[in-house]
Amino acid sequence: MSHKYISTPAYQLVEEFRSDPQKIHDYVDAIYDRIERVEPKVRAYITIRSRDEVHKDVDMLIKSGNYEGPLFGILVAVKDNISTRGIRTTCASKMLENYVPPYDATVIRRLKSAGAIVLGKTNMDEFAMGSTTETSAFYPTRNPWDLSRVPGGSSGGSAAALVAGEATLALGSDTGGSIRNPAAFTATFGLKPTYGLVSRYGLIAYASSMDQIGPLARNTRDLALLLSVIAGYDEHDATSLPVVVPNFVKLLDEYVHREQRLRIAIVKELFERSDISVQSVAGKALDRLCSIHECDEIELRYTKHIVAAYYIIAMAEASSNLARYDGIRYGLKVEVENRSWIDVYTEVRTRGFGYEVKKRIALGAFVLSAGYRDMYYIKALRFRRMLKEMFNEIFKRFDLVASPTMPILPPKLGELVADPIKMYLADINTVIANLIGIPAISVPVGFYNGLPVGLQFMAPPLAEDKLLYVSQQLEDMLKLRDLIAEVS
Amino acid sequence: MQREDLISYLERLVLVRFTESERKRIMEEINKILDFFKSLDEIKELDNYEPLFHVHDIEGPTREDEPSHEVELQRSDVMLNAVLEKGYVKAPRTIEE
Repeated sequence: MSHKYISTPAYQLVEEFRSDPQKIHDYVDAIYDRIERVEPKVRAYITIRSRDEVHKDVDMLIKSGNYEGPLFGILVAVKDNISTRGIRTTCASKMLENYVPPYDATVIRRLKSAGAIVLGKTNMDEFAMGSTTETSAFYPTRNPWDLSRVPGGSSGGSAAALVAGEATLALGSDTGGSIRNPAAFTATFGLKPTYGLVSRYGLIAYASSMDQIGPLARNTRDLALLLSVIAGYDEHDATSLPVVVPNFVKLLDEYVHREQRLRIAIVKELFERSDISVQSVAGKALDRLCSIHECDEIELRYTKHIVAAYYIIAMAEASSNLARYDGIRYGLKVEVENRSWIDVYTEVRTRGFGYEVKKRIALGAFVLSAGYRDMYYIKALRFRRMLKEMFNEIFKRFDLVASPTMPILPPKLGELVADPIKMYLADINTVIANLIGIPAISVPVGFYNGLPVGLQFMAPPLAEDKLLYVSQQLEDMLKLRDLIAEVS
Repeated sequence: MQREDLISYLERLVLVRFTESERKRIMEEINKILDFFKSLDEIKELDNYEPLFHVHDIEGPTREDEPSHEVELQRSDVMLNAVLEKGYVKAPRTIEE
């Protein structure tokens, strides 16, 4: 499918809008028309701003005269765990169903100063706890390529909105693969930045030592553009890295121009653990990439244990982070009188949280509790150190580490959530980057029976430029860019 | 700890209750998940590694203890999410246990 405004890359739209800003109104209408047609089937959004309100924003943007913003006039879909002042932010949970943040997250402030317009808030797994967008307290999002299948998660709404043509760019968050997983399942591009490159101020916390906000797009250049806008030091986030952020679009051009040869490690275990369908599509794309770069297979020990360590740490941090939901100053209101505080809190939290959330915070509290902390939590943190050192060694010999993004094709609704261990193990390739804070990207590399397959690359801290470089090369080779699913 | 006791203990720890059907489900899942977590015991050399709480070896930055005005919260925006009475946040009437 190709419609001028629906599939046009952001970087092209911006150029067009600068010479004729009134065109932004036509673009807004095209996107809203498309939303009206496909959203009832896809259900990518939890909240969509009204068309009129967005047109008013466009008028104000044009009046401001700031045509030089790198995202001038671009409509962005934002995951519903990123705070937006005056726009309901639910985390796909009943607990925050009516919560309206009193401030913008830093990334939203950055988007706005770049001239972008927030179009709506996308569906996700409740509090980002899931890999399929099925644990949303409201409804699951469907995969636009096949409506009987999941779009991945937890940023499933953001990825689905992009590939259904319901937005031009999207923001997600990634704690264990939540950007890359849905990117792979929808044939979009998704990047989890180095921990600390993008401010978490205003991101509703799941597992603070691993959460990162990142960009999703339909081509590499747009991904680089959005990353350049949101990245940067922020004094409101104590874990923000004090680094000067380069212009990733410019760096990308320089890399492509230089045709630099990289050393790429291929993780044998992660390929072998993947479904044959995924292996064949991802393998073929990687072969082509390896014709211009230097590739070598490596062995990675303890793959299963990586997932165990990840879930112990994620659940432990979640149980602490979600302790704040008491329903008093904000959040779900429950009418209970003349009971103890403990009873009141318990009532609020029982009605506000879904099963997966309750399970994860309960297990998180368990692995932190007296007598079990050393057995589980501390052990997982020791493993995390070991994993980091293993990758430090790998990155002495290689620039990038490659694997399929997901070991499986997008499953049917209900298929994965039924078996928790199976669901958790599907995260095996993606959680590594979160555990050790390194950047990683998912690039669409083909389809198997009409279902998308993504290839993942990991890089050392702050080497996002190299990830974007190989992504651009694959995009140029395979021509899988600016894809829009028909939705039928 | 018996599984049933364990679930009740966890409910008290995090102040939630599981419904009857959720209770059945978590009882089935919890042993599988905890066994899965226990798989880390198979790695004998783990004791040689210090726990890694934070991925970057940098000190948390500090600043002067003065209010920052870069993000200005409006009182009315903040209060929008609470039930108010005479301008105060209204909490439920509770009793001591």
